[in-house]
Amino acid sequence: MIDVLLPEVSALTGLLILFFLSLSDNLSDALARRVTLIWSLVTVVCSFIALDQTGLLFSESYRIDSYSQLFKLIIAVGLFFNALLGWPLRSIPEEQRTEYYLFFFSAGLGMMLLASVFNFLVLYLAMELVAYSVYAMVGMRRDRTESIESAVKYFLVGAVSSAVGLYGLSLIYGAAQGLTFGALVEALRQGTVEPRLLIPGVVMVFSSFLFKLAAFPFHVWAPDAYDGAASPVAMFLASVSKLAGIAALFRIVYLLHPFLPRLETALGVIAILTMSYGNFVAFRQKSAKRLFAYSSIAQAGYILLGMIGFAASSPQAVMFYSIVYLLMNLVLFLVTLALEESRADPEISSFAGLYKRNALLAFSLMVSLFSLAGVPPLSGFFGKWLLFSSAAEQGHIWLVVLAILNSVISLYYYLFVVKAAYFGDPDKKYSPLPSTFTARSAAFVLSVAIAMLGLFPRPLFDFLTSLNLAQALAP
Amino acid sequence: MDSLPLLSLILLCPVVGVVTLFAVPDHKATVVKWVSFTVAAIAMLLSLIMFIGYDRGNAGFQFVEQYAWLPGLNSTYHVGVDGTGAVLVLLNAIVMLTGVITSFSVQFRVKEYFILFLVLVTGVFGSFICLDFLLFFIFFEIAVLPMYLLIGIWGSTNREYAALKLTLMLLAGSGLVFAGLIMTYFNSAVRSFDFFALKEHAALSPDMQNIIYPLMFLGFGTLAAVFPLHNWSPDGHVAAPTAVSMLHAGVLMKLGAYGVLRYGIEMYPIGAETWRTVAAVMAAGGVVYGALVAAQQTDLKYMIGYSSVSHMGLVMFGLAAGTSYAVSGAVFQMFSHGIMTALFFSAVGFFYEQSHTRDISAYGGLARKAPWVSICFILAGLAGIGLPGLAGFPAEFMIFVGAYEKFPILTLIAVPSLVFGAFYMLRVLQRVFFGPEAGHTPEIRDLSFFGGTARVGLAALIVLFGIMPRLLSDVIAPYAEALFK
Repeated sequence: MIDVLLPEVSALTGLLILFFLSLSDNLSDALARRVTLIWSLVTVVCSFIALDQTGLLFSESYRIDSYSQLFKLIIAVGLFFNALLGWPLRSIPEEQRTEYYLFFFSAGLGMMLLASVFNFLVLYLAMELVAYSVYAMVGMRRDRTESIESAVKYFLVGAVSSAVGLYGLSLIYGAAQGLTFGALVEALRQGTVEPRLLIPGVVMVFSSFLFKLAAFPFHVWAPDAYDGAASPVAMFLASVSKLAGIAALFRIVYLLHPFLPRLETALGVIAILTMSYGNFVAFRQKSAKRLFAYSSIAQAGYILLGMIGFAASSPQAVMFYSIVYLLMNLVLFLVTLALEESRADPEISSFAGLYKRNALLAFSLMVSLFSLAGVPPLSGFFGKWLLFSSAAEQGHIWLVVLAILNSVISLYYYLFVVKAAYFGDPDKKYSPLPSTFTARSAAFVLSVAIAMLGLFPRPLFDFLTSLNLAQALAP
Repeated sequence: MDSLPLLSLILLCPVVGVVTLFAVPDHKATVVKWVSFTVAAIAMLLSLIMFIGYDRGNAGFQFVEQYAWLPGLNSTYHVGVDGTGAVLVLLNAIVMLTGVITSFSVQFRVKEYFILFLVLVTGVFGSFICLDFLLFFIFFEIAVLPMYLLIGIWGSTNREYAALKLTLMLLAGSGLVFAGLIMTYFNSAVRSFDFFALKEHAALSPDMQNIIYPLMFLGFGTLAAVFPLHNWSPDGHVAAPTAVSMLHAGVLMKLGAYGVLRYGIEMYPIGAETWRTVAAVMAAGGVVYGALVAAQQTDLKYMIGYSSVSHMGLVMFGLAAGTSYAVSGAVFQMFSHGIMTALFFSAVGFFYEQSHTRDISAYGGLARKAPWVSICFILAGLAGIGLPGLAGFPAEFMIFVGAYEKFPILTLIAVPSLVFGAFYMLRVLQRVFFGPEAGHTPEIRDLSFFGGTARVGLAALIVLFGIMPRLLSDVIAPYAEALFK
């Protein structure tokens, strides 16, 4: 069984290693980071080996299929890049830095579980495992009082959302007489479900999900948490953590949509509201991390829209965009972290003259921003095309038109960052921005990947098609 | 010759240039310039071979190539040119080469400048030859995006504002096109992006065509600066560096008109028919408005920018009229206006580099001081007002003759604006080039030999195609006739 659960076991082992290491008093954070780096690479390899596993484990509560395994691989790669780039942990007190890596793996484990959950209770546990780790990570920053405030806010609202989700779960249990997804689908198929229990239950569970994704109207925590957390943590939140939520949500949506016709409309409307809200509020932001927080809210909206095209192409679309989303956000935060060298909490104006200070970082930032805006020929365009076309195929042409309008609007604030980086003048006469070899090579690799996946999407697209994701998601 | 993938080779030239330039060290500005010149010259040569080899008796697509790109979506790398495509590819090659020559005076961040310049040209070439809607859209965006940086970094007057405005308006336009693209794909009987498949088998219902055509017209029309969406264009022209203005007015705006023709009128004929009058009124509005506003300008570049709005209005008017004669004229006008404005901007840039002003009143008596460049400018100006014997005349003549049968009143409104155009153009020519030397004139030196080849070459083309319009119309006419058979 160990080969079926290889990615999870690997993440768990990482967690244990870090736990024992952190018991020692004289562990330096550099060593902890090195261990994390190596172990996250091991996890990537494990996830890759386990890519073609299948199975339904633990009394039908945990499902291993091509969908879950691919998401685990994406998450593992994301974890690796986070370990690689989320360094140094400048604003976290020194004695806590090793613990950061501990939580890094516990959250990682939770995210892996989320990709595979097939039982509402397991879902809850996995979600909480991620959430509690992240609460701790966000709260680690101590150099500003606002960050403690934002951590407490995040925790309180998060706890409420979990409670709501848990209550919804109990209603679903009452309605379906079972907690596994399979039991619910079976009950729905036979029509033995009490809708007065099921509908409120589903609504509550979904709102708890939408909270994790920072979808409108459950998004309020996100900008504060990004802004208040140390930048590596913000990167963690924006990249992998959000993807894990998407992985679990999409599985449930895909299972339930044949029985709950209104789900499609509801999610469509939420998708549009989420992207519009994210895009419009992003306009007014001055802080780079807040801007990226709103941008990631908007991005979640696009992904939600892709989810409701339940056509055969929809899983590929969501998967493709998730990969691209990860790459783009890693670049954004990589550059933000590099800027932090010179000042804490970069504002958009701190990007001024980045082009003259470090041309490679400026270039990769531009590629990533244009890709986020969905401009061809970058992969963001192709990803959006897949998302929008799967929604259009389902007949949601008007939602798609609204989404396209949103993309155009979003370009405006992305351009503001590009404008600062390319047209602005740096503060001092000429101050080259140092960047580590790691950051430079990662920036190069990621931006080339963003461009290449747009110009030649075929290999990845064919690969996703060959995985037969729709079948993996079916009950 | 037939087996040679000529169009792909043309497209490859700027791509090879970009890749090569990445390998050239930053400080070797001269190498950068000569690499760019070489690829531009090769592209020019290949385009000329293509244009000469183009079978004039055949109205269909020629030099067709097709390779798989995204089979899952039925999108292929499918290229080919017909009468319009052939003419516009040639135009792009000409403007590219002369633009590179003009850009030899760039001093600042030279490598990045030429890389972006070649990327832009790649996008334009790609758009003119692509017969796949999705790929066309991608090339279209590749052509538009570099403008942002080219204007923002190397531009002059109010460059950041102009760059932002231009990019946002053009991408809003692309948003409309993208929406139309998705609607077409999902409402057609064949799930394909192939131009032929969509055109012949799509069988979009008239209602659908009536919805999609305006999206295409407004979306592409933004790039063609159709009134009242022209707003980005004069600001953009003025702020852009010389060679970028040349490309921008010379070929990019044509790309908009080309989009309306190929992915609007050809693809949605019923929609085009329904919206014909609206389109014609907008276009004619542009003709008159552009001419009137141009006459008020004191900045030479603004003047040319607004007269471009007027001339592009004529192109759109010809397209909207939708008779084979008017469409031929419109395509001809795309070409001659491309050459003409490229020359205009190239000459103005030449003055500006030396005296740092574009104010009309800052010059006087230039013709004696710098005769060669003055002759070039004057020829462009005269072609602009449609003087017979120069390239502007046959184009405008065909447009008006062709459009009169459909829109007699609008034609009668548009023609006098040309007379008005002649009035202000002659006044400017008289002030700047004749009369006593004034203002900054003493600082101006005449063209160098190398820079002169570009300007004089463009001027020679204006005369050549004015005297022998058949060189072009033989290529265009069969296409336009087949279109309205």
